[in-house]
Amino acid sequence: MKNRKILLFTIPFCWIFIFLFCWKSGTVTITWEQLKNTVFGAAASDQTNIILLQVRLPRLLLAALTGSTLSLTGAVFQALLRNPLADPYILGISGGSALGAVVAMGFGLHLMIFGFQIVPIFAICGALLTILFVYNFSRIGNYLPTHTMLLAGISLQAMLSALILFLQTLLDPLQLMQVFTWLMGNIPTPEYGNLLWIFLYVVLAIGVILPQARNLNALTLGELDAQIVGIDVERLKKILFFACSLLTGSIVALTGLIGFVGIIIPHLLRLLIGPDHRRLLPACVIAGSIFMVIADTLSRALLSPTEIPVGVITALIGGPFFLFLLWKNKRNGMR
Amino acid sequence: MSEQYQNVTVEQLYYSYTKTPLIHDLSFDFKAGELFNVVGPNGAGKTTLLYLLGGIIKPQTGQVLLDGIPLSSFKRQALARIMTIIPAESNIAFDFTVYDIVSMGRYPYHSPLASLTNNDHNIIREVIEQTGLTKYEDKVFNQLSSGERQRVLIARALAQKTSILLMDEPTVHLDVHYQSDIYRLAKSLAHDENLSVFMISHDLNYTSMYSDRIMLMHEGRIVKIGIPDDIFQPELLSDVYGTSLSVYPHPKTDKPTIWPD
Repeated sequence: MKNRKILLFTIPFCWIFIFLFCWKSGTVTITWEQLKNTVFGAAASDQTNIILLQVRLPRLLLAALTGSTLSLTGAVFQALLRNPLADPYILGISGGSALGAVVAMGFGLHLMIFGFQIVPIFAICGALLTILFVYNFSRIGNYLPTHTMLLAGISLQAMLSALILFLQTLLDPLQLMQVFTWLMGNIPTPEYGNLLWIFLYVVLAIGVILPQARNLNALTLGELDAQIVGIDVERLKKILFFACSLLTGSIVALTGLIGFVGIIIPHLLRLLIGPDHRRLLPACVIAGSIFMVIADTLSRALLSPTEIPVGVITALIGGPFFLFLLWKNKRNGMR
Repeated sequence: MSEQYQNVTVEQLYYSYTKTPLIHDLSFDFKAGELFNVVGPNGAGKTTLLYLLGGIIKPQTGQVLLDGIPLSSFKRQALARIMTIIPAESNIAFDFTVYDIVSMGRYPYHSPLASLTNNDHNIIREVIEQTGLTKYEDKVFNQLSSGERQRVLIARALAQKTSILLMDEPTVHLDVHYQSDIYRLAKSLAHDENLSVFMISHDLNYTSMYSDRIMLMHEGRIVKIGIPDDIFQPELLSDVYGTSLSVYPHPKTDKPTIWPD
């Protein structure tokens, strides 16, 4: 218990330190002194201010939101499907979001309607339509066979990728380049207005998901067992599908397809703090954001001034790490 | 423990998934203080009936009444304080401990954001002891044998402190020692703690030894309801199970015992 209290105090400090360190790292060298001046509004050069506040900060904030979102949805889908390898990609939800976003981009719908950005809305709708299709296609009466759902998701993901490729052939070269870099998985530098919308979506969805943590614990034993202990499983699944679509869609619209985070972070945290979702879900929000902030900084700094797509970084860190975890578990004779 | 809603009445229950009905026009009841067993060959519709009683699936026609109140009028969480199911088996994708899983039996009494009270922890420890799981408390559920897992599911159900208990072949993975324990526990819950216990059983001899009343099912219909002596008739059993069976009195208790010829 005492250890946990110490951890609770140290984590916010670590988080802030890593965030500040990543904030000052990059192609242009910035000292702690300059960072301090900008943060406290003291006289720093205009150039430094612009780099820190207009270029790096919104991007780091988006990276943090992306990491939280990907890890949280990963953990939720793993519980929903009772499968440690599930995430929004496997179910085709990211593909659905991406298709929605490509459609919106293809029609040049970068504009706003009533103050809403169109691309994220299309992506959220794409995510929701995909999950509703996979879910209703797979269910038999009151019963949702996991393997059917996974197979349906994988098939749909393949079809959606094909559709995205098809749409790309219709785009003009400039749009094609944009869509292509976006699909590789990149953290762009968003405008603060867009960032605020995404932030609101994410906070809303997290606010919906976190109170369901206890019910997710019961659901990991299966839908029958969850019903036995008094959980309205149909309602729970609807809430979670909707919230996860909101999260996945709003993030995919900006960052494209970034892999591995949704599997790696929940796995790592389960090894560290156990499977209880009341601890796991908040931990995913925090650890996911740290991971993504670091990954994005590496993507900017490693080959500076050239940028490596962050999707490449997460796969290159994540893949071997994941194999290591599996290898360690195998040797320990665990599962 | 809720003293309300102890008696279960089933009225003309009908359920089909394909064209052939799985449950065909069933009417019966069972009461508080009774160990009510259901026997019948595979595919007789026993588990389907248990899911209908537990509100997991909904019947096409007919209804289940709890002390005269239709089952369908209860919210899921309220129902989980009245009745619980011990499923035939469960597995879990993650490393929850025995204590974690038994504590899920207290979920129906709290909102999702509340934490467990001291009273909850006392109840959890009590049922863990009652099911002989004390030394497994911190073990990971997935690393237990299937018999131990079965006892965890029983402990979770007991932690719910319901007045109605539905058991789906609870002894199927257990060795002889624990099989007797489970039947004795079921009987004591019915007789000493006045629960209504509905139990699907595959072991006819244990059923004969412990049951108060038995319902024999075949192809979604009731063949007969009665005390062990009424049900365990050689001709009746041979006919329903499709194999020749003999019945002899138990050397000590005189209850009917069933043997293949």
